[in-house]
Amino acid sequence: MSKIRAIASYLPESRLDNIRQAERFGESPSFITDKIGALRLPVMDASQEASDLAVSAVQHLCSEHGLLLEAIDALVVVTQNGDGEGLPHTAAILQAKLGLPSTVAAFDLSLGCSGYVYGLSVVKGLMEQAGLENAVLVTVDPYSKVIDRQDRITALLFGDASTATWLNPDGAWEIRKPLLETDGTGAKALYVDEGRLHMNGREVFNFAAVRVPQQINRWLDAHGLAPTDIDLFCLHQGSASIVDAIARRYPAVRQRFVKDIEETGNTVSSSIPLLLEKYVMNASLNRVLICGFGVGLSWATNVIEKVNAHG
Amino acid sequence: MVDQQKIMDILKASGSDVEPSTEDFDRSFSEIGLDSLDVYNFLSEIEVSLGKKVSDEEFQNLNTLNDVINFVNA
Repeated sequence: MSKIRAIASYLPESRLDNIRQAERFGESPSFITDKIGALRLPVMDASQEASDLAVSAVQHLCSEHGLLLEAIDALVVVTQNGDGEGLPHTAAILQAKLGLPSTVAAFDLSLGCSGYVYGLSVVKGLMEQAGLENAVLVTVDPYSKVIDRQDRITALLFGDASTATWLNPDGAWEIRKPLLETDGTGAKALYVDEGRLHMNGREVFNFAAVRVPQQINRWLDAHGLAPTDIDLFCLHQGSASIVDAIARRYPAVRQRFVKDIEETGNTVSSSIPLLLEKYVMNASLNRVLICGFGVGLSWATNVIEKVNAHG
Repeated sequence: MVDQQKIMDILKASGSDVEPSTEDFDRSFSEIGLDSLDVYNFLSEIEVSLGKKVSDEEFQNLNTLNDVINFVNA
């Protein structure tokens, strides 16, 4: 049974000062600190592509956790802003840049903020069906490629990042059965047209504030668990406001909702693994809920559980 | 029927610390200190509390708390 063994990440060195950006749009500093939450936004250089960020994330995974490149059997990249125009798939470009053998299975998963939760189950299923030992799930969705810096709604929100998660039968974190949902009638809430990102902020916010708690509650009910049975809630960091809005539904465990967006902004599918790397992998926790939501509309909830924690 | 007190309760439940006076119910959201994300939060709370979903078209016509009361009671 494949489990999460380790997570590593890479953030581009360049940062946008979000308070300064806010001034340009006539927004107050408190709007950034209290509502958006992101003080700085990492942005990749013009010379970089998504695969360059991913190479660094995978290299960190190998150097920090002992994964050998030649041991990788599968490489799955969650992205909707891959290299070039998206063809060929970024996973193939990444395979070549890492110098992996041609025996590696490599493909992209076209999902946004729900992508990591989906990806864990897709990769787990692939590994079990194909009998693979080591897979790497990469997230890298550099929205800087499609953001119009004059658009107040999106320019203050998104940051670039990449993460790499090692799945292996000897990992410490089991991946439970996910709840995965889609509502394509909301496709126009967040989309790219002629290379430019458009977002209906209210529709995305309302979708997340209303439907995400419903899904979390359904997951917990289906497994006979209460919110107090969850040690930590690692939700997609869409904005400080949306994390607060969802956490408010769980007053008894509100302090267990991680909010960490100051130095990253909304990094799309990378936000959840960034939290897991920082707050979960080496912590004394047993049961962590993860939930991603966004473009599609698409939303997904699951729990990762430390091996033998409850048995 | 939803009244001003109910709207104030929902506004508070949405996480806002704005406490509007009767006169404030006819002032714009920004005039009474609600920014765009406060309004998003408030309207989400309206949907959760009252089961009344605000469409994009309807949203364009909601500029004050009394607009919201009229919308909910319509």
